[in-house]
Amino acid sequence: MKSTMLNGALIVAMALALSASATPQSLRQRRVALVPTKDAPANCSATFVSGNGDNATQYCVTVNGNIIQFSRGGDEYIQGAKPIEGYGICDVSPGTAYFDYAFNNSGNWGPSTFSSTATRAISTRTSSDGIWEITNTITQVAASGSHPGAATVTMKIVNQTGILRTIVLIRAANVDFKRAGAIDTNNDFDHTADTVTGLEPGFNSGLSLINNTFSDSNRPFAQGIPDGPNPCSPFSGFAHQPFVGDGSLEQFTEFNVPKFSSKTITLTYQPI
Amino acid sequence: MLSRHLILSAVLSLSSLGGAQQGAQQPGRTTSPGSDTACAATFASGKGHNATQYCVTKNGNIAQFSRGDQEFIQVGNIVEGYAMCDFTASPAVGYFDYASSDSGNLEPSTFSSKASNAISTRITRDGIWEITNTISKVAANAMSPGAAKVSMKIRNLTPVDRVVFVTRVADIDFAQGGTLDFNNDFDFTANTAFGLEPVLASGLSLTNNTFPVLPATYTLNTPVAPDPCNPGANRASQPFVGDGSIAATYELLVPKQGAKTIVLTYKPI
Repeated sequence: MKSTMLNGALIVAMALALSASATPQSLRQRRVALVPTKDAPANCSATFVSGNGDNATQYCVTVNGNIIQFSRGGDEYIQGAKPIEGYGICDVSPGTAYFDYAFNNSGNWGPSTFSSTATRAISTRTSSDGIWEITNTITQVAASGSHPGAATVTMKIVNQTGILRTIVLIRAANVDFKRAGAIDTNNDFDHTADTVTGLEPGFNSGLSLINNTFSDSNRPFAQGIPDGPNPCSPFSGFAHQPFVGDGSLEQFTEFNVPKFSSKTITLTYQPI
Repeated sequence: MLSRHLILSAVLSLSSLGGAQQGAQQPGRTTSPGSDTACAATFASGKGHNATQYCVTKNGNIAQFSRGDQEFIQVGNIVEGYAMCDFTASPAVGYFDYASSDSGNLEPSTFSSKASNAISTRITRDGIWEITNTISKVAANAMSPGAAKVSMKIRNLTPVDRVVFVTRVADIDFAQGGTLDFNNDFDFTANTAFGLEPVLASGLSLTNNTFPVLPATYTLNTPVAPDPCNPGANRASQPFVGDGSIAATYELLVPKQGAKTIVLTYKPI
């Protein structure tokens, strides 16, 4: 890794500080207003269903690669009060943020090309400045008689410029709990180095986000806020452990993308 | 079959089934010559952060479980195992083996193992029950740590139908590089209970894989394994921070001369 990469100890320090002020100066250079924009559609373009009974699992993907609905056995985790799920990039050197959390986006993405099959949805788009291309591939892991289904999310980031770039890549989801029309936005959240969970207590259910790409710079954690983070201030919502309230799941990854090259990160949403 | 209401009442209530406890053994107080924490078979898979290892005793207990250099069970007093409470007659009768302690009413086990699983079978001293624990390895890969799938086959050896609670439980702690932490974060849903070390470390989960049998995974606010006939007596509040355990309890009607099988999985998180 290049020296520009954050090391594990620094990441921990950043996370524990519970404050954006702990993040490197480069990550604080540019604040992005997290406001809804007209090109943040929250409509399902493809829906994936598997399993029966308690293991019946359903999720849907938008044209922009957001998962705006995820349920198990009728318990809904994302399409509750505020459907927020998606991705963000911070180009660390200039401090430019790009994000699309379904409910809102940064306004600097081009339109997506979208395709789907029975088991997969693929969304590709380029940033308005032409620097980045992101391909979100959401693949169904079918439920069975012994476990619920899951959604494997692969994010391929292409650096379309002639210089190496260091980025922070975010995946985040606002997890609430909805059953039979009743919504509970206050839930239990906790995390390890590889898994972050949000759940409804009392013998109910919840959703986890699991890291499947192993390096020191991948860190899932819980946010104490429902909103998707500013990718250039990724720890501003870091929650203490355990957290009870209106929180969200986040995975942080920082890595270098060589010129005209790509990197791919994989993670999984799975009910618990 | 007893109702969902009853099982939840029994598991969740802090003082439920008090009368049924009369015949139950109190776990965690003594160590029987039959209990054993020695590994009879060890299973390893994966590399680096996903390197996963666990071991099984001759009695079907998982006495060690680690991911990378982080251990979850073989820390301090080792408590992992199974219990049954037979409610068919009064007073109820409890049977348990939690590795560090047992009820003293289980016969010695027959044990076998191969590369992918370990099998331990034993009967109760009263000749009523046979329990077969089959612990199967789910190998780690580059994307995920490994897991241990636990299958508990409960056979009713008598000519009458019987109602039992079947419980699986593990005391979760955390050890890494010689540093131990007995106070961890615990939480649960209806199908998953977990204990974890906060601050970007790891933990262990117990997930129900038996459907449509009504399960109840939960956490305990103590490292002491539960009374088989009152397993929810020390159920933890949510979330719980302290020295706790993860558990799953099932209520089964086992027909005469018949058997029921419960499956669940331990997996690092």
